[in-house]
Amino acid sequence: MQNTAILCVDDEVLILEALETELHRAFGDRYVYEFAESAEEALEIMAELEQSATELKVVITDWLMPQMRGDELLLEIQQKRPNTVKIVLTGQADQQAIEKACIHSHLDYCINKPWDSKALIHLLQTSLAHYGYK
Amino acid sequence: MRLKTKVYLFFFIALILFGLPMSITGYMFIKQYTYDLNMKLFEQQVQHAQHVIETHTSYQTTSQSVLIKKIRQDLTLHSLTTDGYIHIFDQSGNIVFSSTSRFLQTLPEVNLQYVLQHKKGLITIKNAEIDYLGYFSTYKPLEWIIISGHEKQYIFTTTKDYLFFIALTDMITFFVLMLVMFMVVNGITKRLQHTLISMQKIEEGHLGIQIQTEHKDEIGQIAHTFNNVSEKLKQNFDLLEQKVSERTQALLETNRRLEQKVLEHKRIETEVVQTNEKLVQEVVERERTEQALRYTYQKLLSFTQEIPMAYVEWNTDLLITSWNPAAEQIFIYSPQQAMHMQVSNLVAAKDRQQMLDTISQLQKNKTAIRQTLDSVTQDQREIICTWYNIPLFNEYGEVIQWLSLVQDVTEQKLNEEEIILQKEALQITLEHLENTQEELIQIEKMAALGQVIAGVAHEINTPLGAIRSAIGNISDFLRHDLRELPKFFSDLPEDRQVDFFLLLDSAAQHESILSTKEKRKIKKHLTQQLIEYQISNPDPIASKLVNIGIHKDIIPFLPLLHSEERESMLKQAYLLTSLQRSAYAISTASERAGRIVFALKSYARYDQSSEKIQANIIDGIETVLTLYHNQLKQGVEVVREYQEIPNIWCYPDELNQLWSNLVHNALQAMDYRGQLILATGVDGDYVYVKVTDTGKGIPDEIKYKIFQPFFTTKPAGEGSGMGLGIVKKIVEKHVGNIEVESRAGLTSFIVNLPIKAVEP
Repeated sequence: MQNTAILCVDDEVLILEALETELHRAFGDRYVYEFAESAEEALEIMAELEQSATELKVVITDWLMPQMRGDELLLEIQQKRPNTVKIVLTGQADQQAIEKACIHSHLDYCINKPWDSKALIHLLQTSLAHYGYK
Repeated sequence: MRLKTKVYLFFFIALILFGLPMSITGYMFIKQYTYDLNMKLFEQQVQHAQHVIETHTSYQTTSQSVLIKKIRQDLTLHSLTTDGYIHIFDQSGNIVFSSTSRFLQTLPEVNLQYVLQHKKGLITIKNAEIDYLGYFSTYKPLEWIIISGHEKQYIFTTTKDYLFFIALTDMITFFVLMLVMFMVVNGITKRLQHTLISMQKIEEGHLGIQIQTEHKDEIGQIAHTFNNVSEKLKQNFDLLEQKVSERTQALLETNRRLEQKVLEHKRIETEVVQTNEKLVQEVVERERTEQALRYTYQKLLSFTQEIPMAYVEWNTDLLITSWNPAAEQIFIYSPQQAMHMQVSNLVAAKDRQQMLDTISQLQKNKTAIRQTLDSVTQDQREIICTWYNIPLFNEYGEVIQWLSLVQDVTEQKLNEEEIILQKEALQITLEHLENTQEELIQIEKMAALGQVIAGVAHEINTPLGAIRSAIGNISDFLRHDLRELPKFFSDLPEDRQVDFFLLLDSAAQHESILSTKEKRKIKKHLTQQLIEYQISNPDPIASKLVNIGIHKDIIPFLPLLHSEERESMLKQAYLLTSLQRSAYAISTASERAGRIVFALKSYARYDQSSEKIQANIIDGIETVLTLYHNQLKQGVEVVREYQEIPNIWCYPDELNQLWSNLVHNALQAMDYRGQLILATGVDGDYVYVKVTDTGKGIPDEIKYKIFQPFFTTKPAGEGSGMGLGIVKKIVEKHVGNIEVESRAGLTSFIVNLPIKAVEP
């Protein structure tokens, strides 16, 4: 049943907690939810998922993170799993920089903090429904 | 060469020439004598041997060997073998008998031929082995050759003994003769020398000297003659001396009279010379004075001609009497025109009276004066001139003439005005530059603020996002889930209700946020337990339990987990605890946001009055750290080594900019990874703040210019290069100072600020 995973990456646990609550409320036990506080941790989790044959379909990541930044992480994911839907959730004000990164890092969507929960869930629903047809 | 040496040499040569041939002849004679003596001996031996052989052959002995034996016996018995040996050879040259073994076995061919031809005589046998002398004879009946002889060196042994004796005798004779000769010669020369010394004494003036001698030989005669001559010489000389003495006396008298006359003459001569010298000196003096005058006149003339100022002479009627080229150049009037003019015509009408007044004043005060007057040229052009008027007086103190030096200062005046204008323009530019600098500082400050804001926006949006999400969760619960709650409780069996509240109670005990890693670890642990207790669908259940707050032991909840209502109970518990989590999130996030806003507020405060106020430095540093929290939190360990410091008089907003510049630099220097050490303390009348990073350090070659404005090591466009320049400016504004200590891995900026207000 649980063979689809959603991965959230943010250096703020507060944000991860909020996302977890939202995901649980929206999708219940339908998917596996994983959370990472850094890009490195995210890559570790991805490797674990690969082993347990769980398909990572969506990644939601922060933009400004210490050490490896969001766009670098996305580039890595793009190389490993080109089909995974990549969403950035950022508090960064500079829209231009993000748009630029959309092109370079194969970013699918970008949501600004503070975000609208319903919009995010809707985006996830559509992405998952149309997974593989992007 | 002295006579003595010559005599010695002659005797020496004579002895050698005479003695040497005598010795050689003697030696030769002895040698020949020895030789003859030996040969005679050898001949006797041969005859003796012949006789012996004859005796034996007459016995008719048949066997030759017996014969030889006999001969040997006989010869050995009778021979004189000490002075020579006997040898017998047959006709083919082979030896038959020999009285010594040290001899040839065959006779050399040369000797054999000679022996067979001559029958008897002297023989010399010489080859590589021996050198032999002897006498031979052939014995006809047996065709034998009998030889008697000895080796040459033995024959002449005696001769050599004689040679030594001759040499010794020669030597003794030689030395004795030499000694005798030395004594004789020495005696003669000594006496000659004595005579010679006496002659030399006469030459030196010791007349009448006598030589003592008893000999009557030739040298004795010489001495006698010498004594006579010496005596006569003495007598003649005494006579001569007497005459000379008389003449000298007469001469001296004449001389004294002459000298008196000469002295008189000299006195008169000296007087004449002195008078003459005085005259010459006067003439020279006069010439010198004339030359000096001429020189002065020339100087004056060239001076007045060449000076770039107008040189004008005029008399008491104001009429011009001298006019130089510079005057012509300034006033255009030619010398001819000027000579007929009054000097006052050169001055503009309005200033003319002023000039005349000055002149009359000068006449009284007897001084020179300088005044600037508007003047007029020939072409009626107005110029500004500086006049130096000098009166010349006669011996009664009356003015007889005037000298004027005039300088055209029109252009100079204009230049002065221009310079004043330029100076004003420069002043304006300077002010403008100062403003620009202020603006630049402001721009840099805004840029720094911009960097801060970018971080702050992220920092604020994060808690805002969390808050918004939490509120969404709470409102969703209130709107939808709350309604289901009563039904859920009413449907729940009683014993399950107890389980449910137990679950909620355990959850309430946890009120901190776990890291994702911790969470995953707990989740794994729980999943394992669930599998152990054979509970289906362990993963999502473990996930819910973690969030509800069940972290360790699931045994108390086993009845609940095994019950039919498990799913709904977990869901409700999750929803209810999520309210708790959301509330906690809101409180944490709003606190964070509040802190950031407060920091921003204290950072951005701008003191318009720009007067110093008392403020706490550490508070300012902490404000900056809060704003940089986002950039510090992962890779940088902040170490605070604060010592208590008093509040100081300062501009807090500028100091905040100072700290944020230093912190920003430190972070960049270590690429946002390492230790940031902040230290404060008191040092005399100063407080110090030390910002240290563990970055790569500042190379020595650029250390001196890091505080220069616009110096940057960053690529173009990334840094303005104003950061440390502004730091320095702010420090200077506070009358403090800043130092850098840097080596790889440890760079410190130390800011010292005075505690009491000091005006820069």
